[in-house]
Amino acid sequence: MNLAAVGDTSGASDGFEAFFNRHHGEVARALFLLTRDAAEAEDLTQEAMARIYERWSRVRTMDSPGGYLYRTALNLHRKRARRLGLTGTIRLPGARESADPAQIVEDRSEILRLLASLSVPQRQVVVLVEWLGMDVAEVASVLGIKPVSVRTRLHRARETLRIAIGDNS
Amino acid sequence: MTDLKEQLDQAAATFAPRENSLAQTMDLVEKRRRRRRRRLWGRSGSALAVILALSAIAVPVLHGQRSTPRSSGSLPTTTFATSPARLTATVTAVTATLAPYNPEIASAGIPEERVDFSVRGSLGGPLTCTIEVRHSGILVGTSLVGIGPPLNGPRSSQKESVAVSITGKTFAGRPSDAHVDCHNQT
Repeated sequence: MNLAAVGDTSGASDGFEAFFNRHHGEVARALFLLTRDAAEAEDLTQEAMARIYERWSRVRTMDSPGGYLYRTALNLHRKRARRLGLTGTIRLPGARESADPAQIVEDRSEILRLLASLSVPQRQVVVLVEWLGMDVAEVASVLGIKPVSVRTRLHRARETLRIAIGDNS
Repeated sequence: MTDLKEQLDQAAATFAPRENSLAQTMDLVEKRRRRRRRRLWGRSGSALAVILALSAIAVPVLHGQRSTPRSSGSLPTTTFATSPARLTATVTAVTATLAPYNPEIASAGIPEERVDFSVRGSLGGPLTCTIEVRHSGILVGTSLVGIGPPLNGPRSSQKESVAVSITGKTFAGRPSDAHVDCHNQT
């Protein structure tokens, strides 16, 4: 990819391509877990990456450019969810009684359904901690909240998921 | 909860990001840049329009106030040295008056300001005078009048009185509220 083709003649985008290749897939998948929608995850990832590129000369000097990328992506996700009125907890229709629990475990989309039953802030914390393996301090930094808030959200999200998984099994 | 990570991994693995994403992101960057440029131009265009509109209002107002200063103790005069046909007009009084009742125009009489002024210069023929009346610096009435030649032959000064219809209510005017510009009809 020739970045000069998009007007970068000053070398300000040095290292962006490597950064993009390193983080793009992971951010896109994290957003997919949050949104359950491949197209929306792609759009949000692209938007976040575009914003990072526009500020790359500043972002690349940061301690954690990846953290800034996640922060941007999650802010975009939260804003979009708010615009769509999805900030509240989504209660899924309880059509699961007839499903076979063994099949449910195998069903890869099941966890997405469970995640969708969480509020957006709880969902973000679960994905960052449980899937990306960030610690509480990192998540607090990415989300711009206090560590204690991260722990509270994580605890409540785990409780909700535990109950949901327990009910299902 | 131990298998949550595994389940999340499996769910995430069902999603494969598009190929050539970097190129698409760069396209998006370019589009955003173009959109921002257009918006910036739109904003600066609007700002330019506002500045032009404000200057169109402010310049005549400032000019009017400058040519007829209120703080000046002497009576205001306007001299046009560049045009020999033009004359010096001095406003001596601006008084409120009402034109006779005319039901087709206004029920309580037409609001007017009577402008008394004197013209000095080479007065031998008919004159044309433009009179502007301002209230608090805002133009409320204008009038273009033709004045016949002096009855007793050429003279150097002449007193005139003209009623100018104004918009809004009449007010107790001062000489600085009117501006008169006269020149010979040659």
